[in-house]
Parts: sequence; C-alpha cells; structure tokens
Amino acid sequence: MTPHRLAQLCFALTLLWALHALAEEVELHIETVLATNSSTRFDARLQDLKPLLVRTFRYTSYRLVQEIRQQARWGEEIKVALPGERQMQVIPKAHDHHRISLQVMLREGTNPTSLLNASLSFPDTGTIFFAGREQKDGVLIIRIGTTAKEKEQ
Amino acid sequence: MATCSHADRLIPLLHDNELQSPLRREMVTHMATCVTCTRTFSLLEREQELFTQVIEERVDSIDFSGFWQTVETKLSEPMPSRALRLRLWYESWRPAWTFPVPAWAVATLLLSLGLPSLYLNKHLLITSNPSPSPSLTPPSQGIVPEIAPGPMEKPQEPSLFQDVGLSDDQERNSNQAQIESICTYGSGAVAINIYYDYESNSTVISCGNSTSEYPQ
Repeated sequence: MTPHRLAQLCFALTLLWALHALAEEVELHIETVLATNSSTRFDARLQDLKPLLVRTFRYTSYRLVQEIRQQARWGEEIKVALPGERQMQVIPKAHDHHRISLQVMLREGTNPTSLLNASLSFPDTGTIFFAGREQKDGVLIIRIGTTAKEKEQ
Repeated sequence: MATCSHADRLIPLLHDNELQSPLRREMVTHMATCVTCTRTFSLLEREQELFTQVIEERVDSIDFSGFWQTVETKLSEPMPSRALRLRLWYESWRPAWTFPVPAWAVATLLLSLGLPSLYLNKHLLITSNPSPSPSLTPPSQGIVPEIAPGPMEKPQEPSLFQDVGLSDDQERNSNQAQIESICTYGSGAVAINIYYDYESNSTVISCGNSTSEYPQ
C-alpha cells in the first residue's frame, strides 16, 4: 500500500469514527396514563405497571392514552404534545455511570404556561413517573423511560 | 450601393417573424417599393436555406444503421461488478483526492483533535448546572414548592449532585433517581412527593395540593 493510500485510509477511518461519535442517540419512551375513579377498568397494555400504579396511586381505573417513542441526540430538545393541551419538553443531557440525566419541562395551554421544570438523573434501566395535580376527572401520569444506543462513555 | 434604415433593423425581425401585425404590414408595404430591403430579405432567406442544407447533409452522413442493435447489445451486457463500479467511481473522483500525503495527515490530525473537543464541549455544556429556559414563565405568587419528605424519598433541594449528598460514585450509582433541581409554577402551595419503587426500579414524582394526595 502506497503512503498516499495509507493516508487516505487513515482519514477515512477517522472520519467514520467522528461520524459515529456524533451519531450517538437516545430513545425516549414516553407513556401517558389517565388515572380516574370513573370505572374499574385497567388497560391491559399497562399490565407490567399495575403493581406500581396500585401501590402508589388511589385510582380505580388506569388507561394508556398515549405512547411515544422518540429518537434524540444528546442535548437535543424534544417537544412532545400530551393529552389535555399539555406539552412536555425533554432534553437528554448525558449518559454517565449507567445513569441518564434529563431535563424535563411540562407546560400547559395553547399559550404554554410552565407547570414543572425538573433536572434529574436516574438509572438507565429505570423509569421516571410524573403525576400532576388531581383534577376532577382524575390525573395524568407520565412515564419516561430511555434506551441509550451507544456504548457507555 | 443604396441603403435603407429599415434593412438593418427591421428586415431580420420580419424574416424571423418577430414583428407585430401593424409594423409587419407596414414593412411588407415598404418592401414592395424598396429594392434594398427586398434584397436583404432575399439574402436572409438564401442564408437560411444554405444553413438548413448543410445540417441535413451532415445528419445524412451519420450512419444510424447499427444504432438500435448497439443499444440492445449494451442493454444485454451484464452489469460490471461492484468492485469495478467502485473502482470507476474512485477513478472519476481521483483528481479531487490527489492531495499530497502531508495534506491528508494534517486533515486527519485536525479531525481527530477537533471533533472530540467539540464533542466534549457539547457534553460539558449540557451536563453543567441547568438553568431554566428563558421562555419559561416566571413563578407567580408563593410557588416555592412545599417539599413533603416521605419515608423513602430523597431531599430535593435544587442544587448540584454534591448538595444532595452524592459525593461518591457508589451513591451516584444507586438506583434511585437524583433530583438536581425541581420547581413548579402556578398559584398556591404545591407538595412534591418523590417515591422510589424498588420492585419496578421506578421513581415517582407527584405534584399535589397536599401531602396526602398520593399515598406512599
């Protein structure tokens, strides 16, 4: 192999490595559950959450009203429209020591008013639940899980 | 030789059929009485005839007898191998790639130094202490959240990791979520309950009007 070819090969490998490094992604999994006392129906899709929901909340009915999977790059702001004219902004900040750091902002209304702004970290195998204030019809519970698609930094 | 001001400007346009009707009629009438313009028009017609004749002769001299046969032969030929096509593609771009070796070395060095620093900067920026979005509505009356510690929850003072007692990696690797900062907006006191569920490895953050809204 000539030095010229070798130099080109080195450049190509470095470029590939750089592109790979920049293409790191995280998948956000956001589920919105409506908890009410209007019935005793339990959504079958929430079966794996039933013990937690029953242990934690007082409601008799739980229904999965929205499920979103969204790819994002680290540092990218993701906006997700939630039921009830609510909007969630999530910024995946870092994946470090098997923990995911997120900034989560919850807004409400057509002219969005902030409800909650949290910066937190949790295990990459775990999930975070946000439960809002109780309304007359029940409460919205938002579950956020993540799947980091790159090797641990 | 007699000249006419129309001969240079308007006769070529008349010949090319570019004149509008009133002017065209006027020119045709003028040509009937102007020898210069009539001659110019005839010359233009003759030039066009010769030009057309030359083109037709050249087209006739081309041999199209084997055209379709050649096309069919080309179509039936097997596609060149992927390696050959790659080679052809490489060769077609070769002039753009023929930088000297030092240039490639410098480019590789810059790429390997520049992108990681960019990458690290990005992560340093996004892992720094978060500040609320400037577009967020500032908290209104009495909104400092009322923290209601439960039996299993972590303190949630808005602060860095160290401020919530996470000074070593062992604690940081625990399964519970660590709240760096949390604030709510709106009127009235808000109770924030944070509950960690070991079985599902989940952390529940609930905002309520009172501490008893969600049982622990």
